Amino acid sequence: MKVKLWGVRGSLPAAPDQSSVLNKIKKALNSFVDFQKQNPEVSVQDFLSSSESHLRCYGGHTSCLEIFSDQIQLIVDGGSGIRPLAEHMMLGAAGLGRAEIHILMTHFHWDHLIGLPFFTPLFIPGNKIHFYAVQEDLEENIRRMFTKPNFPVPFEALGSEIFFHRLEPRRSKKFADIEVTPYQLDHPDPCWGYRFERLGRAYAHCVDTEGVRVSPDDLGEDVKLYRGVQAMTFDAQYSFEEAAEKINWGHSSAPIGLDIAMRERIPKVFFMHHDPSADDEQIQKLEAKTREYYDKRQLALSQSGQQPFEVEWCFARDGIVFDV
Amino acid sequence: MSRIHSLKGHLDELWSFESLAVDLKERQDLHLDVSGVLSVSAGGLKHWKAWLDGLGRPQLYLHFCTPLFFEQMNSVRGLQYLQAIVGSVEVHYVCPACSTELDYMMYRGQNFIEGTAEHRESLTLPEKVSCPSCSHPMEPDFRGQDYFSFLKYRN
Ligand SMILES: [Zn+2]
Ligand SMILES: [Zn+2]
Ligand SMILES: [Zn+2]
Repeated sequence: MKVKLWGVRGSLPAAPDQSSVLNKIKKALNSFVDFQKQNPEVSVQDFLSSSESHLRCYGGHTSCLEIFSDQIQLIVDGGSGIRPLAEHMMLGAAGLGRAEIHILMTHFHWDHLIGLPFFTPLFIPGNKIHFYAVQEDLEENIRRMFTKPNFPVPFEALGSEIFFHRLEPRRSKKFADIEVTPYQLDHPDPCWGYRFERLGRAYAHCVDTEGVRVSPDDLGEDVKLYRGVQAMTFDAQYSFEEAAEKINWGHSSAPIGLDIAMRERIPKVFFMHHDPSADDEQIQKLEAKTREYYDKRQLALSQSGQQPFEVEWCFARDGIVFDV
Repeated sequence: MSRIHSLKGHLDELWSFESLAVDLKERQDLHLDVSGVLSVSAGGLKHWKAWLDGLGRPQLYLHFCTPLFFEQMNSVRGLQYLQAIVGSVEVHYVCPACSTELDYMMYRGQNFIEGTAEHRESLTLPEKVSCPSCSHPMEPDFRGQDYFSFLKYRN
Protein backbone atom coordinates (compact mmCIF):
# COMPACT_ATOMS: atom_id res chain seq x y z
CA MET A 1 0.00 0.00 0.00
CA LYS A 2 1.26 3.47 -0.87
CA VAL A 3 0.14 6.90 0.27
CA LYS A 4 0.51 10.17 -1.61
CA LEU A 5 -0.17 13.47 0.10
CA TRP A 6 -1.63 15.89 -2.45
CA GLY A 7 -2.41 18.66 0.02
CA VAL A 8 -0.84 19.16 3.45
CA ARG A 9 -1.87 22.74 4.24
CA GLY A 10 -4.55 23.43 6.83
CA SER A 11 -7.56 25.74 6.89
CA LEU A 12 -6.93 27.68 3.66
CA PRO A 13 -4.75 27.20 0.58
CA ALA A 14 -1.57 29.27 0.91
CA ALA A 15 0.59 30.18 -2.08
CA PRO A 16 3.99 31.78 -1.48
CA ASP A 17 4.09 35.47 -2.44
CA GLN A 18 6.83 37.24 -4.39
CA SER A 19 8.76 38.39 -1.33
CA SER A 20 8.98 34.90 0.14
CA VAL A 21 10.14 33.48 -3.22
CA LEU A 22 12.73 36.26 -3.59
CA ASN A 23 13.87 35.66 -0.04
CA LYS A 24 14.36 31.99 -0.80
CA ILE A 25 16.33 32.78 -3.96
CA LYS A 26 18.47 35.31 -2.13
CA LYS A 27 19.33 32.83 0.60
CA ALA A 28 20.07 30.13 -1.94
CA LEU A 29 22.34 32.38 -4.03
CA ASN A 30 24.22 33.57 -0.95
CA SER A 31 24.84 30.08 0.24
CA PHE A 32 25.81 29.01 -3.30
CA VAL A 33 28.51 31.69 -3.28
CA ASP A 34 29.83 30.37 0.06
CA PHE A 35 29.57 26.82 -1.14
CA GLN A 36 31.50 27.64 -4.31
CA LYS A 37 34.31 29.25 -2.34
CA GLN A 38 34.91 25.92 -0.62
CA ASN A 39 34.19 23.75 -3.65
CA PRO A 40 35.18 25.71 -6.81
CA GLU A 41 34.32 22.78 -9.08
CA VAL A 42 30.80 22.44 -7.81
CA SER A 43 27.83 22.24 -10.17
CA VAL A 44 24.49 23.89 -9.56
CA GLN A 45 22.93 20.43 -9.26
CA ASP A 46 25.45 19.39 -6.56
CA PHE A 47 24.60 22.50 -4.65
CA LEU A 48 20.86 21.95 -4.96
CA SER A 49 21.08 18.39 -3.73
CA SER A 50 23.32 19.38 -0.80
CA SER A 51 21.25 22.29 0.44
CA GLU A 52 17.68 21.21 0.06
CA SER A 53 16.86 22.91 3.34
CA HIS A 54 17.34 26.44 1.91
CA LEU A 55 14.81 25.72 -0.76
CA ARG A 56 12.27 23.68 1.12
CA CYS A 57 8.68 24.25 0.03
CA TYR A 58 5.93 22.59 2.00
CA GLY A 59 3.28 23.50 -0.53
CA GLY A 60 -0.02 25.27 -0.22
CA HIS A 61 -2.81 22.84 -1.12
CA THR A 62 -5.33 21.84 1.51
CA SER A 63 -6.16 18.28 2.57
CA CYS A 64 -6.31 15.59 -0.02
CA LEU A 65 -4.53 12.27 -0.06
CA GLU A 66 -4.48 9.12 -2.07
CA ILE A 67 -4.02 5.60 -0.69
CA PHE A 68 -3.47 2.92 -3.29
CA SER A 69 -2.52 -0.68 -3.98
CA ASP A 70 -2.39 -2.47 -7.35
CA GLN A 71 -6.08 -3.25 -6.88
CA ILE A 72 -7.65 -0.04 -5.65
CA GLN A 73 -7.26 3.70 -5.27
CA LEU A 74 -8.87 5.53 -2.35
CA ILE A 75 -9.01 9.31 -1.98
CA VAL A 76 -9.39 11.07 1.36
CA ASP A 77 -11.01 14.53 1.33
CA GLY A 78 -11.49 17.05 -1.44
CA GLY A 79 -9.30 19.97 -0.38
CA SER A 80 -7.56 22.02 -3.07
CA GLY A 81 -4.99 19.20 -3.41
CA ILE A 82 -7.61 17.19 -5.28
CA ARG A 83 -7.19 19.45 -8.32
CA PRO A 84 -3.65 18.29 -9.21
CA LEU A 85 -4.78 14.74 -8.39
CA ALA A 86 -7.63 15.20 -10.88
CA GLU A 87 -5.19 16.31 -13.56
CA HIS A 88 -3.18 13.18 -12.98
CA MET A 89 -6.29 10.96 -13.02
CA MET A 90 -7.64 12.53 -16.21
CA LEU A 91 -4.71 10.97 -18.07
CA GLY A 92 -6.13 7.54 -17.27
CA ALA A 93 -9.55 5.87 -17.09
CA ALA A 94 -11.20 8.91 -15.48
CA GLY A 95 -10.49 10.96 -18.62
CA LEU A 96 -12.27 8.34 -20.72
CA GLY A 97 -15.27 8.09 -18.42
CA ARG A 98 -14.39 4.57 -17.35
CA ALA A 99 -13.32 5.12 -13.74
CA GLU A 100 -14.89 4.02 -10.49
CA ILE A 101 -13.64 6.47 -7.87
CA HIS A 102 -13.90 6.29 -4.07
CA ILE A 103 -13.67 9.43 -1.93
CA LEU A 104 -13.71 9.15 1.87
CA MET A 105 -14.59 12.35 3.72
CA THR A 106 -13.23 13.07 7.21
CA HIS A 107 -15.54 16.09 7.78
CA PHE A 108 -16.95 19.07 5.93
CA HIS A 109 -14.86 22.08 6.85
CA TRP A 110 -14.15 24.17 3.75
CA ASP A 111 -10.49 23.22 3.51
CA HIS A 112 -11.52 19.58 3.00
CA LEU A 113 -14.21 20.37 0.39
CA ILE A 114 -13.02 23.35 -1.56
CA GLY A 115 -11.31 21.39 -4.35
CA LEU A 116 -14.33 19.23 -5.22
CA PRO A 117 -15.82 21.59 -7.84
CA PHE A 118 -12.47 21.29 -9.64
CA PHE A 119 -12.34 17.52 -9.55
CA THR A 120 -12.75 17.05 -13.30
CA PRO A 121 -13.72 13.34 -13.25
CA LEU A 122 -17.05 14.46 -11.72
CA PHE A 123 -17.95 16.13 -15.01
CA ILE A 124 -17.15 13.19 -17.28
CA PRO A 125 -20.10 10.95 -18.25
CA GLY A 126 -19.43 7.30 -17.62
CA ASN A 127 -17.41 7.80 -14.42
CA LYS A 128 -18.91 6.40 -11.22
CA ILE A 129 -18.00 8.40 -8.14
CA HIS A 130 -18.65 7.14 -4.61
CA PHE A 131 -18.53 9.39 -1.56
CA TYR A 132 -18.25 7.89 1.93
CA ALA A 133 -18.53 9.37 5.41
CA VAL A 134 -19.70 8.54 8.90
CA GLN A 135 -21.71 11.79 9.09
CA GLU A 136 -25.39 11.58 8.16
CA ASP A 137 -25.36 14.80 6.18
CA LEU A 138 -22.76 13.64 3.65
CA GLU A 139 -24.96 14.07 0.57
CA GLU A 140 -26.26 17.48 1.59
CA ASN A 141 -22.71 18.73 2.18
CA ILE A 142 -21.40 17.54 -1.18
CA ARG A 143 -24.43 18.83 -3.12
CA ARG A 144 -24.04 22.25 -1.52
CA MET A 145 -20.66 22.65 -3.22
CA PHE A 146 -22.42 22.71 -6.60
CA THR A 147 -25.03 25.42 -6.09
CA LYS A 148 -25.46 28.78 -7.73
CA PRO A 149 -24.27 31.48 -7.16
CA ASN A 150 -21.25 29.79 -5.50
CA PHE A 151 -20.55 27.53 -8.45
CA PRO A 152 -22.03 27.75 -11.94
CA VAL A 153 -22.62 24.03 -12.56
CA PRO A 154 -25.44 22.59 -10.45
CA PHE A 155 -25.04 19.14 -8.92
CA GLU A 156 -27.74 17.69 -11.20
CA ALA A 157 -25.75 18.72 -14.28
CA LEU A 158 -22.59 16.81 -13.31
CA GLY A 159 -21.90 14.19 -15.98
CA SER A 160 -20.75 11.34 -13.76
CA GLU A 161 -22.92 9.02 -11.74
CA ILE A 162 -22.59 9.88 -8.04
CA PHE A 163 -23.31 7.63 -5.06
CA PHE A 164 -23.33 8.33 -1.32
CA HIS A 165 -22.51 5.76 1.34
CA ARG A 166 -22.60 6.00 5.09
CA LEU A 167 -19.86 4.35 7.09
CA GLU A 168 -20.43 2.83 10.49
CA PRO A 169 -18.26 4.32 13.25
CA ARG A 170 -15.39 1.97 14.16
CA ARG A 171 -16.65 -0.71 11.74
CA SER A 172 -14.37 -1.71 8.92
CA LYS A 173 -15.31 -1.73 5.26
CA LYS A 174 -13.42 -3.60 2.61
CA PHE A 175 -12.36 -1.86 -0.61
CA ALA A 176 -10.73 -4.60 -2.75
CA ASP A 177 -7.62 -5.52 -0.74
CA ILE A 178 -7.70 -2.50 1.60
CA GLU A 179 -9.79 -2.47 4.77
CA VAL A 180 -10.84 0.92 6.08
CA THR A 181 -12.08 1.73 9.61
CA PRO A 182 -13.20 5.18 10.78
CA TYR A 183 -12.35 6.37 14.31
CA GLN A 184 -13.34 9.65 15.89
CA LEU A 185 -10.83 12.49 16.25
CA ASP A 186 -11.00 15.56 18.51
CA HIS A 187 -12.49 18.36 16.42
CA PRO A 188 -15.19 20.97 17.04
CA ASP A 189 -17.39 19.55 14.26
CA PRO A 190 -17.22 15.75 14.25
CA CYS A 191 -14.25 14.53 12.24
CA TRP A 192 -13.31 10.94 11.54
CA GLY A 193 -9.80 9.63 11.05
CA TYR A 194 -9.22 6.47 9.05
CA ARG A 195 -7.18 3.35 9.60
CA PHE A 196 -6.19 1.59 6.36
CA GLU A 197 -5.03 -1.98 6.52
CA ARG A 198 -3.66 -4.28 3.85
CA LEU A 199 -1.92 -7.61 4.30
CA GLY A 200 -1.23 -6.99 7.98
CA ARG A 201 0.26 -3.53 7.45
CA ALA A 202 -1.64 -0.46 8.51
CA TYR A 203 -1.64 3.32 8.17
CA ALA A 204 -3.59 5.86 10.25
CA HIS A 205 -4.75 9.25 8.97
CA CYS A 206 -5.37 11.47 12.01
CA VAL A 207 -6.26 14.90 10.62
CA ASP A 208 -8.02 17.19 11.73
CA THR A 209 -7.55 16.63 15.43
CA GLU A 210 -6.77 18.67 18.51
CA GLY A 211 -5.32 15.61 20.21
CA VAL A 212 -7.20 16.34 23.41
CA ARG A 213 -7.33 12.65 24.22
CA VAL A 214 -3.81 11.25 24.44
CA SER A 215 -3.85 8.43 26.99
CA PRO A 216 -5.42 5.06 26.07
CA ASP A 217 -7.99 5.57 28.84
CA ASP A 218 -9.10 8.89 27.41
CA LEU A 219 -9.07 7.59 23.84
CA GLY A 220 -11.21 4.58 24.69
CA GLU A 221 -12.25 2.67 21.57
CA ASP A 222 -10.51 5.23 19.36
CA VAL A 223 -7.07 4.13 20.55
CA LYS A 224 -7.37 1.40 17.89
CA LEU A 225 -6.78 4.04 15.24
CA TYR A 226 -3.14 4.16 16.42
CA ARG A 227 -2.57 0.54 17.41
CA GLY A 228 -0.26 -1.58 15.30
CA VAL A 229 0.11 0.91 12.47
CA GLN A 230 3.35 1.34 10.52
CA ALA A 231 2.72 4.94 9.44
CA MET A 232 0.62 7.88 10.54
CA THR A 233 -0.30 11.34 9.29
CA PHE A 234 -1.03 13.70 12.19
CA ASP A 235 -2.33 17.25 12.62
CA ALA A 236 0.50 19.63 13.57
CA GLN A 237 -0.94 22.99 12.64
CA TYR A 238 0.51 24.67 15.73
CA SER A 239 3.44 24.56 18.09
CA PHE A 240 2.70 22.97 21.47
CA GLU A 241 2.37 26.37 23.13
CA GLU A 242 0.17 27.81 20.36
CA ALA A 243 -2.13 24.78 20.53
CA ALA A 244 -2.35 25.27 24.30
CA GLU A 245 -3.78 28.75 23.70
CA LYS A 246 -6.12 27.70 20.91
CA ILE A 247 -8.45 25.50 22.86
CA ASN A 248 -11.31 24.11 20.76
CA TRP A 249 -9.75 25.23 17.49
CA GLY A 250 -9.44 21.57 16.65
CA HIS A 251 -5.75 21.29 15.82
CA SER A 252 -2.77 19.76 17.50
CA SER A 253 1.02 19.96 17.61
CA ALA A 254 3.80 17.61 16.58
CA PRO A 255 5.03 16.82 20.14
CA ILE A 256 1.62 15.31 20.94
CA GLY A 257 1.77 13.21 17.75
CA LEU A 258 5.27 12.05 18.70
CA ASP A 259 4.12 11.09 22.20
CA ILE A 260 1.42 8.89 20.70
CA ALA A 261 3.83 7.45 18.11
CA MET A 262 6.46 6.61 20.75
CA ARG A 263 3.94 4.96 23.03
CA GLU A 264 2.13 3.04 20.28
CA ARG A 265 5.40 2.23 18.49
CA ILE A 266 4.50 3.86 15.18
CA PRO A 267 7.76 3.94 13.19
CA LYS A 268 6.89 6.60 10.61
CA VAL A 269 5.00 9.87 11.08
CA PHE A 270 4.19 12.70 8.66
CA PHE A 271 2.93 15.94 10.17
CA MET A 272 0.51 18.03 8.12
CA HIS A 273 -2.32 20.60 8.16
CA HIS A 274 0.32 23.34 8.34
CA ASP A 275 -0.90 26.75 9.40
CA PRO A 276 -1.74 28.87 6.32
CA SER A 277 -0.21 31.93 7.97
CA ALA A 278 3.16 30.21 8.38
CA ASP A 279 5.62 30.51 5.48
CA ASP A 280 8.17 27.80 4.63
CA GLU A 281 10.74 29.33 6.95
CA GLN A 282 8.35 29.34 9.88
CA ILE A 283 7.27 25.75 9.26
CA GLN A 284 10.93 24.80 9.06
CA LYS A 285 11.56 26.49 12.42
CA LEU A 286 8.65 24.61 13.93
CA GLU A 287 10.12 21.41 12.56
CA ALA A 288 13.50 22.26 14.16
CA LYS A 289 11.83 23.02 17.49
CA THR A 290 10.04 19.68 17.29
CA ARG A 291 13.39 18.00 16.60
CA GLU A 292 14.67 19.55 19.83
CA TYR A 293 11.69 18.14 21.74
CA TYR A 294 12.12 14.70 20.21
CA ASP A 295 15.90 14.53 20.76
CA LYS A 296 15.65 15.72 24.38
CA ARG A 297 12.92 13.23 25.14
CA GLN A 298 14.84 10.34 23.55
CA LEU A 299 17.93 11.37 25.51
CA ALA A 300 16.03 11.63 28.81
CA LEU A 301 14.45 8.22 28.32
CA SER A 302 17.67 6.49 27.38
CA GLN A 303 19.62 8.15 30.22
CA SER A 304 17.10 6.72 32.64
CA GLY A 305 17.81 3.23 31.35
CA GLN A 306 14.78 2.90 29.08
CA GLN A 307 14.97 2.01 25.43
CA PRO A 308 12.85 4.68 23.75
CA PHE A 309 11.06 3.75 20.56
CA GLU A 310 12.59 5.62 17.63
CA VAL A 311 10.28 7.37 15.21
CA GLU A 312 11.20 8.52 11.73
CA TRP A 313 9.21 11.70 11.19
CA CYS A 314 9.05 14.93 9.20
CA PHE A 315 6.78 17.83 8.40
CA ALA A 316 5.21 16.70 5.13
CA ARG A 317 5.11 18.63 1.88
CA ASP A 318 2.68 18.42 -1.01
CA GLY A 319 3.46 15.52 -3.28
CA ILE A 320 5.24 13.25 -0.77
CA VAL A 321 4.72 9.54 -1.42
CA PHE A 322 5.46 6.82 1.14
CA ASP A 323 5.16 3.07 1.42
CA VAL A 324 3.29 1.37 4.21
CA MET B 1 6.76 27.88 52.89
CA SER B 2 4.31 25.01 52.77
CA ARG B 3 5.24 21.41 52.24
CA ILE B 4 7.25 20.38 49.18
CA HIS B 5 5.90 17.39 47.29
CA SER B 6 8.28 15.24 45.28
CA LEU B 7 7.56 14.55 41.66
CA LYS B 8 9.46 11.53 40.35
CA GLY B 9 9.76 9.32 37.31
CA HIS B 10 8.49 9.73 33.76
CA LEU B 11 5.97 12.52 33.50
CA ASP B 12 3.88 11.39 30.58
CA GLU B 13 0.15 11.15 29.94
CA LEU B 14 0.01 8.03 32.13
CA TRP B 15 1.57 9.54 35.26
CA SER B 16 -0.64 9.39 38.34
CA PHE B 17 -0.71 12.81 39.98
CA GLU B 18 -3.23 11.52 42.48
CA SER B 19 -0.42 9.54 44.09
CA LEU B 20 1.06 12.83 45.33
CA ALA B 21 -1.96 13.19 47.64
CA VAL B 22 -1.78 16.99 47.49
CA ASP B 23 -4.25 18.64 49.81
CA LEU B 24 -4.08 22.41 49.45
CA LYS B 25 -5.89 25.01 51.44
CA GLU B 26 -7.40 27.87 49.54
CA ARG B 27 -4.85 30.23 47.93
CA GLN B 28 -2.01 28.04 49.08
CA ASP B 29 0.90 27.71 46.67
CA LEU B 30 2.04 24.36 45.38
CA HIS B 31 5.73 23.52 45.77
CA LEU B 32 7.18 20.61 43.84
CA ASP B 33 10.65 19.12 44.05
CA VAL B 34 11.29 17.94 40.48
CA SER B 35 14.84 16.66 40.94
CA GLY B 36 13.59 13.08 40.53
CA VAL B 37 11.83 13.69 37.23
CA LEU B 38 13.41 11.47 34.58
CA SER B 39 11.53 12.68 31.51
CA VAL B 40 8.68 15.01 30.59
CA SER B 41 6.42 14.68 27.57
CA ALA B 42 4.00 17.10 25.90
CA GLY B 43 1.10 14.79 26.78
CA GLY B 44 2.43 14.72 30.35
CA LEU B 45 2.36 18.51 30.48
CA LYS B 46 -1.28 18.58 29.35
CA HIS B 47 -2.08 16.01 31.99
CA TRP B 48 -0.14 18.04 34.60
CA LYS B 49 -2.02 21.23 33.68
CA ALA B 50 -5.40 19.46 33.92
CA TRP B 51 -4.44 18.27 37.41
CA LEU B 52 -3.50 21.83 38.43
CA ASP B 53 -6.83 23.07 37.07
CA GLY B 54 -8.53 20.45 39.22
CA LEU B 55 -6.70 21.76 42.27
CA GLY B 56 -8.02 25.26 41.60
CA ARG B 57 -4.90 26.51 39.80
CA PRO B 58 -2.54 27.14 42.69
CA GLN B 59 0.67 29.08 42.00
CA LEU B 60 3.19 26.41 41.09
CA TYR B 61 6.82 26.56 42.26
CA LEU B 62 9.38 24.15 40.84
CA HIS B 63 12.44 23.36 42.93
CA PHE B 64 15.75 21.65 42.11
CA CYS B 65 15.18 21.52 38.34
CA THR B 66 17.85 19.41 36.65
CA PRO B 67 19.35 20.47 33.29
CA LEU B 68 17.62 17.59 31.52
CA PHE B 69 14.24 18.45 33.02
CA PHE B 70 14.77 22.09 32.22
CA GLU B 71 15.81 21.55 28.61
CA GLN B 72 12.81 19.33 28.00
CA MET B 73 10.50 21.95 29.50
CA ASN B 74 12.16 24.66 27.39
CA SER B 75 11.67 22.71 24.15
CA VAL B 76 7.88 23.16 24.47
CA ARG B 77 7.86 26.28 26.69
CA GLY B 78 6.52 24.09 29.45
CA LEU B 79 7.32 26.55 32.26
CA GLN B 80 5.16 29.22 30.66
CA TYR B 81 2.49 26.65 29.88
CA LEU B 82 2.21 25.71 33.56
CA GLN B 83 2.73 29.32 34.66
CA ALA B 84 5.39 27.95 36.96
CA ILE B 85 7.83 29.93 39.06
CA VAL B 86 11.27 28.37 39.17
CA GLY B 87 12.57 28.16 42.73
CA SER B 88 15.91 26.65 41.85
CA VAL B 89 17.64 25.23 38.82
CA GLU B 90 20.95 23.51 38.23
CA VAL B 91 23.42 24.71 35.64
CA HIS B 92 25.96 22.35 34.20
CA TYR B 93 29.68 23.12 33.91
CA VAL B 94 32.41 21.16 32.17
CA CYS B 95 36.17 21.43 32.64
CA PRO B 96 37.88 21.88 29.26
CA ALA B 97 41.14 20.52 30.70
CA CYS B 98 40.07 17.28 32.38
CA SER B 99 36.36 16.93 31.38
CA THR B 100 35.18 16.93 34.99
CA GLU B 101 31.50 17.88 35.18
CA LEU B 102 29.82 19.92 37.86
CA ASP B 103 26.23 20.92 38.57
CA TYR B 104 25.73 24.24 40.27
CA MET B 105 22.38 25.05 41.90
CA MET B 106 21.01 28.53 41.26
CA TYR B 107 18.33 29.94 43.53
CA ARG B 108 15.52 32.39 42.86
CA GLY B 109 16.10 35.67 44.65
CA GLN B 110 19.76 34.85 45.07
CA ASN B 111 20.99 34.14 41.54
CA PHE B 112 18.01 35.11 39.41
CA ILE B 113 14.60 36.69 39.50
CA GLU B 114 12.02 36.67 36.73
CA GLY B 115 10.80 39.96 35.25
CA THR B 116 7.42 41.37 36.28
CA ALA B 117 5.52 44.58 35.64
CA GLU B 118 7.41 46.07 38.61
CA HIS B 119 10.96 44.96 37.96
CA ARG B 120 13.19 43.69 35.19
CA GLU B 121 14.45 40.15 35.17
CA SER B 122 17.94 39.60 36.48
CA LEU B 123 20.46 36.79 36.33
CA THR B 124 23.80 36.48 38.09
CA LEU B 125 25.80 33.51 36.98
CA PRO B 126 28.76 32.44 39.12
CA GLU B 127 31.72 34.60 38.11
CA LYS B 128 34.27 31.86 38.06
CA VAL B 129 33.78 28.17 38.59
CA SER B 130 37.01 26.31 39.21
CA CYS B 131 37.40 22.65 38.46
CA PRO B 132 37.35 20.63 41.69
CA SER B 133 39.88 18.19 40.16
CA CYS B 134 42.41 20.42 38.43
CA SER B 135 41.40 24.01 39.36
CA HIS B 136 41.16 25.00 35.69
CA PRO B 137 38.28 27.48 35.03
CA MET B 138 35.19 25.49 33.99
CA GLU B 139 32.95 26.33 31.03
CA PRO B 140 29.15 26.59 31.13
CA ASP B 141 27.40 23.78 29.23
CA PHE B 142 24.20 25.71 28.56
CA ARG B 143 23.15 28.56 26.34
CA GLY B 144 22.33 31.31 28.83
CA GLN B 145 19.73 33.11 26.69
CA ASP B 146 17.76 29.96 25.91
CA TYR B 147 18.22 28.26 29.23
CA PHE B 148 17.00 31.25 31.18
CA SER B 149 14.43 32.46 28.65
CA PHE B 150 11.73 31.75 31.27
CA LEU B 151 12.89 34.82 33.21
CA LYS B 152 11.31 37.08 30.60
CA TYR B 153 7.96 35.38 30.65
CA ARG B 154 6.57 35.74 34.12
CA ASN B 155 2.80 35.50 33.77
ZN1 LIG C 1 -8.83 21.14 8.13
ZN1 LIG D 1 -11.55 20.87 10.30
ZN1 LIG E 1 39.55 19.93 35.42
